[in-house]
Amino acid sequence: MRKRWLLVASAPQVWRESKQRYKLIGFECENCKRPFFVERVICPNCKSRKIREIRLGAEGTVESFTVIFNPPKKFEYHSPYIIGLIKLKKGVKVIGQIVDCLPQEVKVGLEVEVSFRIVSKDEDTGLIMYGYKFRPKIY
Amino acid sequence: MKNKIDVDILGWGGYVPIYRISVDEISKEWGENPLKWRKMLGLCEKSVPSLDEDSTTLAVEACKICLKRAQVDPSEITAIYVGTESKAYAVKPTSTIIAQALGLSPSISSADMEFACKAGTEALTVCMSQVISRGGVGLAIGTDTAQGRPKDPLEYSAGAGAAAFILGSKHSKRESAAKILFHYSYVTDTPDFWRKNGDKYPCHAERFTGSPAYFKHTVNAARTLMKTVGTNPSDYQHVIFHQPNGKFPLKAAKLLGFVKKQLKYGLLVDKIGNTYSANSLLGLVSVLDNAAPGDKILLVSFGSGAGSDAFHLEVQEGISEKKRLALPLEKFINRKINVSYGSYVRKRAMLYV
Repeated sequence: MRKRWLLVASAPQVWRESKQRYKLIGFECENCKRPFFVERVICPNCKSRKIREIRLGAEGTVESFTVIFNPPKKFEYHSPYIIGLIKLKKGVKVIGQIVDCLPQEVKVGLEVEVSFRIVSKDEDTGLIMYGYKFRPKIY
Repeated sequence: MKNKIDVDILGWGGYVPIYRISVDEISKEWGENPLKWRKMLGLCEKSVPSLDEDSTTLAVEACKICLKRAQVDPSEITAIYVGTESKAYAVKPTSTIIAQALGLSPSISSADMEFACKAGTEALTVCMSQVISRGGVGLAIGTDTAQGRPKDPLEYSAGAGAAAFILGSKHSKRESAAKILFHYSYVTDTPDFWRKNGDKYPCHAERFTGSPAYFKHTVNAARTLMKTVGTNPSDYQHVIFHQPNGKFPLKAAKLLGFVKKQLKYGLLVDKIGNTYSANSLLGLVSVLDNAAPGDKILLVSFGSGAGSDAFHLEVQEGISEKKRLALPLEKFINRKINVSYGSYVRKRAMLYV
């Protein structure tokens, strides 16, 4: 259980999560059209079992954020870093790191876009987990 | 005019990380005279990848811009070739990670290329051959997070960036931004710069990297290509050379008879450093961002070891519309956060033991 929290990336885990992490794939209930990020068998809204994959989009706004000064193991050299609650254009909220800006530059309502980054590196196996993070939108 | 080819550039895109470190900051750390280094290398600052960026992530960002311009659905791409000398894995392809991140079909040809700084144009060359022989649409990428040993002259110049191009044959019937009409390669066994398997930083033969390596290959490739095409330096609106520093491309241009005006958009090294496999290709991205229909472009790469690829391109009417579809490279070059030497050491993962 502890390993899970430390984000140690086993090969099957990296492989299994790659689609969601690489392309920010979410899900939508075919019946009531409610979108959600984490895969579900039953729609939490209408209880339908008809769930399909959707792209959640590459843009959103910062709903809330915090700055991490005491990071978990494996992220020591990244601190201080910003973790934000991002509301995507499809209405789904996801948590992700906000990069390419200083902590004092982040504010609620900041428009962000997806950036493909290294999420974690396994020190034992050297396996790299890639995935989405967010950066301030470039105009 | 023999050896004429006809490959369309359907889209192009470049990406440079946000962080920069100046030559002054590095020289201050080592107690050196910044003016000496700025004059010697002809550059002001270089791009620095963040701790969570590598050649794979930079390539994905460049490809996303390229796909917007090409207006090609990722599932239509039939080939992906990546040139880099800073592969994230020694054994595991970068191209498959990029393909998966972009949503490409599994039914594609895919490979990673290596030829020092020429790996990017090598990917372009192989992709050209693929679309000519097999049809379809191909993706060619040059990407690097270049390494420079602390206190070595390379530390002042080794930058990071990626450039991507989507190519199609004349049968693909898509709007073309530019046509690649001629290509010539010139290679010899020249030990000017190398990195052995397992070594963290490359070694170089200092001044030997000049005349027998860079200038010999660059000038030979450019001259032979122009002779094949039947053009003179004055026929080109834009010329792009590989730019390991700010001085070499200017000298190569002078040796061949080009003037500074022709290098205006393709010379980026003073702002982002030497981006290795992405180097001359980022120059081409910048030129395409600024070129007009009818412009002729000469692109000459160089890779240590050593070799040069030269390309003759002609800009098409379709470029005007495509320019508006995605962010120009200039946006990424001007978006920057300057860092201290301490922050640079952390971002380049030099703190890891």
